[in-house]
This record gives sequence, C-alpha cells and structure tokens, in this order.
Amino acid sequence: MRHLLLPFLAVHGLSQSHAAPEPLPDLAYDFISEYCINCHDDDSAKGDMVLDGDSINWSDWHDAERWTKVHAMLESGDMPPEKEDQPSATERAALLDWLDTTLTENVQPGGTVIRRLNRQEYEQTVSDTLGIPFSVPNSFPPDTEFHGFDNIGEGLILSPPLMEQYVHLATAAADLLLPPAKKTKEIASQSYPIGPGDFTLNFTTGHEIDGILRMVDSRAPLARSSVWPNRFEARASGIYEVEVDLSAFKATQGHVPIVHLLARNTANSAFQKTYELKTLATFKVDSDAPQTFRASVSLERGETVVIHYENGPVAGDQVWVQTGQEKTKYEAYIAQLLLDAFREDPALGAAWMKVGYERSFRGWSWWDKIEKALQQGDLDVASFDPESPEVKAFADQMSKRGTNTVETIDCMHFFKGPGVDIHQMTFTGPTRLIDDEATLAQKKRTGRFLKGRDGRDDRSYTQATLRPTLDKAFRRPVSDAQLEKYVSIALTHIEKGHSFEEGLHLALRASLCSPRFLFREYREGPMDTFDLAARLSYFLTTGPPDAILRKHAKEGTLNDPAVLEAQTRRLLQHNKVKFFLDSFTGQWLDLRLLPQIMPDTRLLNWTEKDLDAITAETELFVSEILRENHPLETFIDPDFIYLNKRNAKLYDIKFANTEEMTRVEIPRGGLRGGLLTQASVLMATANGVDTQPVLRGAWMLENIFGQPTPPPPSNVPAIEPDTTGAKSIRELLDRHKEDASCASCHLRIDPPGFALENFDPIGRWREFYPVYEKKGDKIITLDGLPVDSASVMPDGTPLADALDLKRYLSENIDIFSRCLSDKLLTYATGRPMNYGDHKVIERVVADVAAQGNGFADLIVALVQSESFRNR
Amino acid sequence: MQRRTFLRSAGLSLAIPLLESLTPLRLLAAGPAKPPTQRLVTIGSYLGFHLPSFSPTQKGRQYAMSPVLKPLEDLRKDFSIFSGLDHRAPNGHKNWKNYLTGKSTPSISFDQIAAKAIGEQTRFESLQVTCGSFGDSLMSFTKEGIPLPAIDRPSVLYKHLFSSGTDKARMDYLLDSGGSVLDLALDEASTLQREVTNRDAAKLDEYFTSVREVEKKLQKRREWLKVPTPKVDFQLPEFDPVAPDLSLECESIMYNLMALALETDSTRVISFLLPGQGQVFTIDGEKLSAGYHGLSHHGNDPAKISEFNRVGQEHVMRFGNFLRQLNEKKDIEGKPLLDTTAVLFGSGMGDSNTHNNSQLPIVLAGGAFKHGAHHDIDRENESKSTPLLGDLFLTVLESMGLEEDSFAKANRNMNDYLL
Repeated sequence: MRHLLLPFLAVHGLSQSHAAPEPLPDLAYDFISEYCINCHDDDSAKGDMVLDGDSINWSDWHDAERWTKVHAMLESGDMPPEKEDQPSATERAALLDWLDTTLTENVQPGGTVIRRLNRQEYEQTVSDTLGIPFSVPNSFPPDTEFHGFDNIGEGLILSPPLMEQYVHLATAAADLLLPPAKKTKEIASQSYPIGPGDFTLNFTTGHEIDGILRMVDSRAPLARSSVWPNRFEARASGIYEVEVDLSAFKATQGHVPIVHLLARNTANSAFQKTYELKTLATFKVDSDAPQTFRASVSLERGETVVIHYENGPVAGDQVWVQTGQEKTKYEAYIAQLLLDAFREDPALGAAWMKVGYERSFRGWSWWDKIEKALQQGDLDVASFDPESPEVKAFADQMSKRGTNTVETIDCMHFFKGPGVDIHQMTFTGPTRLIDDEATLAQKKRTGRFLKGRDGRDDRSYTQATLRPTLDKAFRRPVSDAQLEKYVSIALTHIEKGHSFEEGLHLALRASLCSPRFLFREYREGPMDTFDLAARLSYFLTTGPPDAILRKHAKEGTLNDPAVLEAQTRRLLQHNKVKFFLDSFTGQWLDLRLLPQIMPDTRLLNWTEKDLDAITAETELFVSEILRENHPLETFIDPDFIYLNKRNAKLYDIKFANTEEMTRVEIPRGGLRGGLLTQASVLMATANGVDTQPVLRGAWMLENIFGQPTPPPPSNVPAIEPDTTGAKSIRELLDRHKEDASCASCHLRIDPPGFALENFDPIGRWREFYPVYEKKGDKIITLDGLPVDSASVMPDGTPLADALDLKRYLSENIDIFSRCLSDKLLTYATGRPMNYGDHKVIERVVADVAAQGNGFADLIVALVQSESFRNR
Repeated sequence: MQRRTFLRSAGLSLAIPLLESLTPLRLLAAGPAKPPTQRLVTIGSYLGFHLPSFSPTQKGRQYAMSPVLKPLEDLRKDFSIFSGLDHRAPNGHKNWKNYLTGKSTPSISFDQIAAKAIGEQTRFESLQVTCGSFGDSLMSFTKEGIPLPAIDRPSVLYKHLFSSGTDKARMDYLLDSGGSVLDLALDEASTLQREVTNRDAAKLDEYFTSVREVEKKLQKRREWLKVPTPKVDFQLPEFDPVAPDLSLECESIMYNLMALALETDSTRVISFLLPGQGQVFTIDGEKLSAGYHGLSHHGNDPAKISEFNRVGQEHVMRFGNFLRQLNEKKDIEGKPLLDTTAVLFGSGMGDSNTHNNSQLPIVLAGGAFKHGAHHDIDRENESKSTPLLGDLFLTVLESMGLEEDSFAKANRNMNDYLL
C-alpha cells in the first residue's frame, strides 16, 4: 500500500499560546440564550454544563471540551430535550456548521498530559535499562484505569506509597547489577546423620516400621509421594557428600526400584512436582539387603534433598482430577490397580469389599478396617472372583473416591510391596563452596556493565559507565550537564570513603527515581524522534525503545514517514507485540474482567480451563487479524474461528476432544465467528447469572460502535430482570422507555442489546429464558418465556437477531473502524480523543478503507497521523 | 533495679536507658491519653477445630472447659469464648480469608485497620507471621486487598526484630544514602518543572509531594535506626523447623518471638497464621495415623476426631503459653502486657469437615475487657440484633481508641458482652 502519510503538523495539542478569549458570535450567543441557558446557566448547571458567558478561551482545555460536547449533543439530537422548545432544523444546522469550523480550527489533535510509566511499562523498562531480570512484588500499588485504559496520562497518579516502592525497588534493581559486598563466611564442613524418623511425612508418603522408613508412591506432587529430611538444609551453596542406605522391599519379579535424589528449596511449596526439580543422583536399588549409595551433590543455600521412588506401583501427575476425559482415565487407572491387587490376593479383595466405603474412610483409617476384616478370617474367599462384574463394579466405584482410595492403596503397598526402604542417610558438607546460579548470572551482568577500567580515573570511568545507562533510562541522550549530576553524586559518595561500585550503585538508584525515568512525553512542543520512538515502542511492546529504534531516534530518521512505517511494521511482527495484544485487547474487550465473573452453577460447571479457552480464542483471533493484516470486517464476520473442545461445547459445534486451540475455517455470515458472538465478549457483557440487554447494549455502543452513552440518571432505578420469569425484560424496558429522558439513549442502547439476547451469560445460544425449579435436592432448568431479539436501529434498519447485527456492522464497517481507531489512539497516546483527533480518525479510516482496510495498515496509518505524532 | 532484674529473668537483657531513650519518640506519637487496649494480636488456625470439642457445652461463666480448650483452664479469667459468630460470608477453602476481612471482595483486614491507625508509634507498623512456606498470606490485607507476606522462618523474624549486625548496617547505609537520591530526584524535577506546561506541572506536583512524603518517612526510619535495636536474651535454635511436619515446633518459637516483639514495643499489631496441609505430625513421640488435612476431613469418625483434637490441643497449649508470657511480661508502667493486649484466637473455618465458614471458633483474650464467660450466640432465632464477628472486631477497635462505624456487614458492637 502507499504510505498513508499526512503533512506533519508542527502544531501540538491545544496550543499553549495564551491567546485572548474570542467573543462568541451572535449566531451562537442567540442560540444558547434561546434554547440552552435555562438549564445551563451558572445556577442550574444541569449535567455540570455551564454555558454562561459570551466568549471562548481556546487556550483553556476546559472550554474546548465544553464546546465539543455542545457539538456532540446538538448533532445527536439529545439536546435540547424533547420537552423543551426545539430549534428549527436550519438553526441547528447553522450552529453545527459554525461549531465544526471553529472546533476544527481551534482544537488540534493532541493534548497528552505527562505520562507516568504504568506497572507493566515500569517493570519492562527497569529490566531493559539495566539488563536484569526484574518484576515488581504483589504489594506494588495498582494503576488506575481512565478512559478504559491503565496508561492514560491523567489517570496515572503518583502517590506517596508508590514513590516509596519506586525508591525501594530502585535499590533492589541496582542490587541485581551491583550487589552489596558480602562477607564470605567460612562454613565448616559438618556431618548430618539422618535416621528413618527424621523425614517429613505428608499424607501417606512414608511409613516408619521396624527402624526403617518405607516409600511406595511415585506420584509427581512431592507431598503425595516423596520424603525429605526435616532438619537438614544446605547452609551455604556448595558440594555435599550424601550417603544413603537403601534396600528393595518385596520387589516383584523383574522390578528394580529406581530412586532419585532431587534438590528442593525448603521455602517452596510441598506440592511442587518432582519433574520440576533438579535430579541430583539416580540409584538402582537391586537388593533386599541394605546397600550404601553415595553421591556428591551440589546444593544451593536453603536446599534439601528429596528422596523419590521413581517407578513405584502408584504413579501419576495428579492429586485428583475433577472433570472430563482425564478423570475417566485416572479412575480407570486406580480401578486397575485395585483389580490387579485383588487378582493377586483374593482374600484382600474379599476383605475390601466387605468393608466397603464410608465418607470418612481414607488412607490408614480405611486400611485398618480392611486389615481387621482380613484377620477375622471369616471371609468367603472361595466365591470371590476378581473377574466378576460385581468386583469390577466395586473397583470402579472405589476409583471414584480418588485420593482417599489412592492413599489406602499406598497403605496396602506398605505391607505388600513393592517399596523402597530407607535405613539411614548422612550429609557431609559443604566440602567445597560454589556460586549458585543466581550469583553466576549476576557476576556476568556486573562484568558486562562495568566492562573494565582500562587505566581511567574515577571520573572518566564513571562517566563512561553511566552515560549509556542514562541514555537508556531517560530514553534520550543525556546532556553533559545532566550526566554531571549523576557522576557527581557517585564521585561524592566515593570520596566519602565508599567503593567505586557503591558510587555507581547510588547513581543508578537515583536515575531510577528520577522523573525523567518515571515519566515520558513531558516535552513541550511537537514530539521529537526520541519521544516518538518511545511512544511507538510503549504502544506496541509496552517496553522502552530497542537498539534499532534508539538508533533511528538518534539519527533523526524516525521522522521520515517511510522509516516510521517500516519500524511500525517491524514491531507489529516482533514477538513483543504479544504484550500489546494482551494489554490492549484485555482492556478494550474487558477480557481482564473475566476471571472475576463466576458463572451460575445452575447454568453449567465452569472451570478455569473454560475461562482459558474463551480468553485464548479472542486473543488468537485478534492476533491473527493483526499478523495477517486481515481487513477490519474480519473482526465482525471472519471466515475462521479458533476452537478447542471447551468453547466448541459452548457453541454447540462438534469438535475433537482436545484442549489445543485449533484454527478452523468457517463460511462467512454464520452466527459464530467474530467478536460480537464470542463467548468472552458475551460473558464480559453479562454478570455470570443473567443477561441485561441494557448492559450489553451500552457495552456494544461504547466498544464496538464507538458511541458511548452517558451513565443513567441516578433517579431512575436500574432494570432488574424478573427472575420469576413472569415478565419479559422487553416489557420492563418498554415501560422504562415511556419516560422521555430515558428514551433518547435507549433508542440506541437497546437494539444491539436485544439482538444478542439469544446468548446466555456465557455465550451459549438459547431461545427461551431459563426458569429454575427445585426438585427434591436437585435444581432443574425449564424453558421460561421465549427470547425476543428483534428491534430497530435509530436509522430505521430493522434487526431481527444477532445475524442482522453482524450484517449491519459489516455493511457499515466504518462505524467499527472509527471506534477501534479511537481506542487504539487513546491507548497509544494516553489521552481521550478530542475534536481534532476525531477529524483525523475520519480521514485515516476513509484512507485505509480505500486501501483494503487491513488492521496492520490501520495501525500504521494511525501512527503516521498527527494524532499520534502530536503530544 | 527491681524491674531490671525482672526483665532479665523474662528473657530480656534490656538496659533501662534504652527504654528511656524510646520514651520521647513514643510520647511524641502517642499523645497524652492512652486507650485501654493498645495492642492487637490475631491468630488463625487454617484447618480450624472440631467445633463440638472446642465450644463448651454450657454458656455463661460457670461453663466446664471444653476438651480442646483444656490447656487454658488456669487462664479462664483472661479470655472469653464465643460460639456462633461469623461474617455471613461465603464458604470454601478460598474464602478462609473472610476471617479477618469479613468479605470476599478485596478489603482491609481487621489487624490492618489497627496497624494503619497506631503503627506509626513503633518500629514496625505490624508483623505478619506464619510457620514454614504456605503460599500467600490469608490473614492480613491492605485496603486494596493485597495480601501482606508473612515471615515464615524463626531466624528471619528474629533478625527482622533484633538484628544489629550486617542487616542493620546495610539498612543504615541505604537510608543515609537515600537522602541524596531524593535530593537529586527533586533537583531533576525542578529543572523539569521549568520545561513543562501548566497541566503537566500539576502532574509533577504529585511527584514533589510524593518525594517529600517519602523523605519524611525515611527520616522517621532513620530516627528509629538511631534507637538501638532491643537486645534480647533469646537462644535461637540452630535450625529453622520449616518442614511441614515440624510446624508445631516452629509455632512455639514464633510465639516466643512475638511475645518479645510486644515486650520490646517493636510493634503493637501482629497476625499469626497457623498453617495446615497434609503433614503427618508426631505428638509426644507418637506419629498420628494420617495427615493433618486428612484428619480435618474426619467424616465424624471418632478416631479421626480424637487425633484432629490432639493437634487442636497442641495449638491451644501454645496459645496458652503465649498468654502466660504476656501475663508475666510487663509494659512500661509495670502492668502485665496482657491487660492491654487484645489477642484473637480462632479460624476462618467453622467446620473443616465440610469446609463451612460459618459459626467460627473464636476466643478473645486479654485487652481491657471483662472476661471469663462463654457467649453462645443464638443462631436458631436470628434477628437484627444477633451479633456478627465484625461486631466483636468493632468492640476491640473501639477499645483501642478507633471509632469505626462498621466492619463488613456488622455495624453494631459487642460492648454489652465485654465491657
């Protein structure tokens, strides 16, 4: 496509020149006096709108906002209200014409307020600037959302607790580059004998018997299978000699128990999986008599050694599985374990069946009863047939008891084998100290940062080290005067007797607390290439400019439209664009709200995996449109859909039984496919329990149509669905609309809301509203009133249902393109779009539509526009 | 001289001048009138208790001590038992955190309301403590609903409270040099201020204000650093018992350190979470028959209940020892610490067998309250005046000089029961 380039205007935002107020022309003054002032004088000030006065001061952004709103209200016909005197069509047109001319002239695109880095930007910027792994703690204060996004200048407030975190984290970050000198403590090698009673036991991970500790379980979660010494952990990172006496217990024919020693940090959860841990040694326990196994292992400070029986009779990754195929598979596995044991020992089978199951039975308490039954000896073993349907059914039934049964099987194995016996263990060490991985990585970083002194004095060495870091930190070349401030804070510190590293450490801390680091886009006037590089980079990667962008900024070439386009396209293909997609769509489409919505269990059993599926669908969908530069119509009516078994089930589409999201081609014009009918959007626009067409409609207007409606007046009660199902939501709404003050907005809100009423709160198709009835202790769902999805758009287009809504938007794609452009630019520039910006958007949308309407092309064009390039 | 002798015998070799040097700071912050209750300790046992073994059968003052609370017999005049209190909040493991927050939505916890109000007067605004790793804290939450991490190792808590070695030197260094970091920050902001527009200047004002606030806070922390950390005569064990099966051992040490933290006035607000997972405990040399979590799902099996209660008694015994320590230790006026320290002991779990979060086991000890009774709240005939756990919190807060109108769904108080 050709470059969608527009003359680069050297005007920025609302001009800072302190021009004198302009007198209001008679045309406007008379109109206001006649039709508006009654409600909008200083005293009444309805809707906080005051139109007193006979002049406009364009240097005051409040005035610009005020008159933009007047234009919007007159254009939509929302004002003056129906019950008041109405201007003639000519009068209205004349004022609109004047307003358009004067707003276009005076409200230039731009007006971003200085932007603080938000949480994610801050994390990435610290990390990139110092080249360290860095993330903020949970306690880091959250950012405020403003105009729908968490990166808007006005919304990014800096509070004292946040500043305190910045000061604190600056030290933490500097420590990762230049750690405080540690006094190396001499840690003497020591011997730690560990007896069979000195191991941590959880659930049925071990059984102490006759001076040995027996293990039988091989499942992956440590707390289900493994043991570790409860009073040994490495006091220093180093090499330790381990000795452990092991023997096999009743190993079946051909079975050689394999034991792994794993390194475990004692600070971590006891439910870590064995395969997540580093294997230190592997032993084959091929004798019934105790054998001493030895290994020299390297442990980091705080680590202990887990003993894991790798190939025992009970394996598996799960503790229990609640749903689906995996549950069935897991249960079949447990049932098989039981049947195998029963075949081998029918008496055990007979005893187990006699004991049966009660709710409190689990592990030892259950096993004790089985053993008792075995000892009593009055079992009818002869008629016990492990191949009989009854026994199979019993095993199946027991397998449904999950953990309770598995723990009891563990107890069984403690006596029946196979198992591994631990007789004793000894640690000796550290025989040699070593650097742990974190220290090694840090030393590498420090080396890269400090390079070498090469005979330079403190001053020039400090200058040379700090300059590139500050250039990166402030996202523009640091001036000599500025550099001097940081060099001198370091040198003064060194002169006071601190080390050279401590001096640099201090300068780094200061730079990470500087407003030039924490804020961006603070320069008055048109954005230069450095601001532009940063805005582009934070827009598309949520991080600071990379080396290529920094080079173009420095050489000034980023202002060249061809270079700017090439750089934008480069970033759009960069793997960091995922951060943009995640952040932008997460906020635009409210995907971030989904985890907070808990669907009604009467509708379905909702799991985390369902949530993952519907979120992934939308993310993959938007990501493909961007990557492939699909036309914007694709958002509404695509010829593909991403499915896995979970969302396919919601959509009632036959699909393979897989969790993997798969791209499937579909014909256009169908019900599914496209944002409007994706489960994520339908869920975000409901509350998990029932749907409210007003909420969905208002959401659609705001996020798809780009026509946000004002919040409802506080004196009108919200419309609550009638849960008894006696009245349809439409009846309730129609009554609501009889009120003239409600009607004007509901005319626009209701149609998209009603069109989507066929979708329940999780996006499933329905033709009737559900009514729940209690039957015994079960709740059943009955068909209530039928869903009526028909309505008429304000322009007279009738909508029968969701298909019509999709068709309407596809045919009027500019509505959606303008909305998306507005959202993208708001996100990119950190400010709400003003009158001038909207003019820019109109033009860009028309230009891009003429060139194939690609999503990536739209972003490129928006980046080239004055709205993006003005502050 | 007498007090000095006492302090030493109580595990403290604290020189008198130190206490005096603390006084001005304390008076400066505390003002003249001291509220009747000055400290708050909140303790929660994750897996709760077997309620029928925890709640006494009789109500009123003449009740017979319940099996689980037996270790508290000698202290009965120092605490009150409450049955039938909760927040009317949702059930489930995940909703355990309702215990101190009263609701599922992010909100501030009971202890943090107190910490925010009185925390300024001590070196640490509040402490969060647990035994061994247990994931996110479930007790203490900021007003944004952010869980405050708990210290899970005795050696770390000890260092945090009483270290005067390298850690303190480092802190000293960072606070000292931090001054020049903030000076340069302000200097940079002033240059920037001259470059920006009016609207941006207003935004930069936020920066100036915030930096100055941080400066003040650093200043305060530096003053605290000048006050030497209290010297305590406490023998930290060689090894941190952080393994899950040693959590009761860890609990004892943590209680000792908490008592010392209060005695040295290092903090006045502590929350303590007693963790519970699948660990198999050994009690009096005897290994229990199942993991703690398994016992909590006892399914009303008497054998399991009895073992679950043994763990419960171990918790209660340690809690009792803590109360006894607070009775022996004296505040600056020579009165038992317990008289001015409210200690809440209970759980966010009412019945762990069914994961029910209603009718929580609750004991309130110490503080300026009238104790000695078992208050059995009638939940059969519930009315508007039936108190909630939040009402109890409101009474405690009021006694600490904090006037709060409501806590979650509670907006009354339980003064009638306790004052």
